[in-house]
Amino acid sequence: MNESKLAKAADTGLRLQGISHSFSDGRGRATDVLAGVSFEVGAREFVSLMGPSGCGKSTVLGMVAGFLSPEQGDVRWHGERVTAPDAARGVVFQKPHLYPWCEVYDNVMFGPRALGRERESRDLARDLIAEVGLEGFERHRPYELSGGMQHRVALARTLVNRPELLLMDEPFAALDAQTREEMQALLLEVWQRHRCTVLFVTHDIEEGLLLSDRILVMGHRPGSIRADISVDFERPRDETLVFDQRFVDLRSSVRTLFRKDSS
Amino acid sequence: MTDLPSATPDAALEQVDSELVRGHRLSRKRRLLPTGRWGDFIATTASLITALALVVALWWIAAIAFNDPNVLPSPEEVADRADELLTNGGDLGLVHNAQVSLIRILIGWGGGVIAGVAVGIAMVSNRWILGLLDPLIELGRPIPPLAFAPLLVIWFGIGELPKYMILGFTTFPIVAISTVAAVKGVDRNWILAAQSLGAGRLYVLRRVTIPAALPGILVSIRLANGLSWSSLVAAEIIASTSGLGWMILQAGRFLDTPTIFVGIITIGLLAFITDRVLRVAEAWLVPWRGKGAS
Ligand SMILES: Nc1ncnc2c1ncn2[C@@H]1O[C@H](COP(=O)(O)OP(=O)(O)OP(=O)(O)O)[C@@H](O)[C@H]1O
Ligand SMILES: [Mg+2]
Repeated sequence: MNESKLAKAADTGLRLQGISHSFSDGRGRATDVLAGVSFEVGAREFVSLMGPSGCGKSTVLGMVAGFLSPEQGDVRWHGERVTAPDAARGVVFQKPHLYPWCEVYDNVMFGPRALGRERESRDLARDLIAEVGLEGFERHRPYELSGGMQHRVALARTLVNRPELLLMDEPFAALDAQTREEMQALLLEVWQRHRCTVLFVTHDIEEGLLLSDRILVMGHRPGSIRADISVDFERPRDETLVFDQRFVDLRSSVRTLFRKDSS
Repeated sequence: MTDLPSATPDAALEQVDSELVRGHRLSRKRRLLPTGRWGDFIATTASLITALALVVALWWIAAIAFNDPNVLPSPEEVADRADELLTNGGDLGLVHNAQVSLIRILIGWGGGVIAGVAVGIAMVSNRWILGLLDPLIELGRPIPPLAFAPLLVIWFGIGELPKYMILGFTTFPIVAISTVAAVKGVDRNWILAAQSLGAGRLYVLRRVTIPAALPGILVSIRLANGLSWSSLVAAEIIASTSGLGWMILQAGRFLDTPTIFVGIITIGLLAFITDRVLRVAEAWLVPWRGKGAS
């Protein structure tokens, strides 16, 4: 425990500093979306970003991914300023965004092929397709799959690249309870095996508590970090954690934070 | 990142298309025809035959009423002439002239398609090219290709080239403009996903942008094919000695009304058949079209 904390201090993987941003509506009116968002995520840490709808979680994630630049402040990954998307920072979007002109297998192999790593990624691609429960669907097109299945393909497509930083935007929100639990377990396993850093956006307090080392609670209009809560239940964790008294307490205090913010 | 809904320019068209298909499906179910592609085929053919029978019947009645084959020959007279032109027509031989025209269309339209797609992609890839060509294409587009005919003869003589060019001029702007619109309408999230999966500019273009824009581009290619057939006569006004357009013009000079009709019907038929072929190609190339991709 102590050791890992030291490691965190030594290598701050991701650092956001004083991020402010506004979107203009094209008619000269600007809405401040983010105001002074700063936080750090240590290497190999699992951090959840939570907050009410529209508070700017996806916007923050998009900045870390390199999809848009903040008007003020900067995003640094291993000390380097993020300016463009990169395979080291994998993204699982709120929607699957699969390529309908590719079969499932080719969607998963998109990254390896783009990176010229096709040969050494084939086995991993097959394994991941099996792990997300889609064995036998390799030759299907995305539109032949259910929404939940598409989300699972999207997860495999991102994981096959073995990103150092995994950015996930409510990846399991569209799944049924059973599949969601399976995917959460899979994610934890991948994370533990492969030791990547995860920034995970979710609406679901329980999900955040179950998965993360830390929870960042964002507030509304303009968005900023209201609370940084450490979640230090021992790992590996499983669903029985929800009956733990400490879990119940933590959940209700986060919930209170949420309520305070939306009122 | 917010998820913007994909707004392809041909989305509206696809909507109409899928609405039609859906309507089709319903009526097909009601009639208990076989499902699948064959069911569609049978239903389309049936409605086509009905429509044709109706037109021929009205035509026949009108021909009898006029009672002057030089003004309006009856379907029978036109069929006789078609038969004659199919078996032996010399210069006026139908097969020969249809072949000549078909080849002209394929070359002129095909060239226009290739140029249109290439220029369209160049336009969206480079701001300067877009700024330069966009107004030029927009200015040139409303000018009927026929207006270029005399110039083209002066510049390029009376060979095949000016004919290809007229057909190419018909095709090029539609395909170029549609390509630009289709590429611009590609869902940004598809591109962002590709970039964060490690794809570079060229890889994104080849593996995401072009396939994503393909449905829109293919629609314009098909529309341009129809328009090429409708400028065929214009192309073949230029010092021709063959082709369906020439055949019609020539027959007009001799008041040979039945041959005019044969020419018109043949053009219509060939345009229809090429359109069908392109539709099949479309369904094969973009099977995901209108399948609610996300
Ligand atoms: N491209 C854009 N143009 C204008 N406004 C935008 C744009 N993207 C986001 N916004 C605005 O920024 C705010 C934050 O959006 P964002 O998508 O980051 O919220 P979110 O926290 O992810 O919400 P949700 O939980 O519903 O996904 C919203 O109020 C939204 O209206
Ligand atoms: Mg969001």
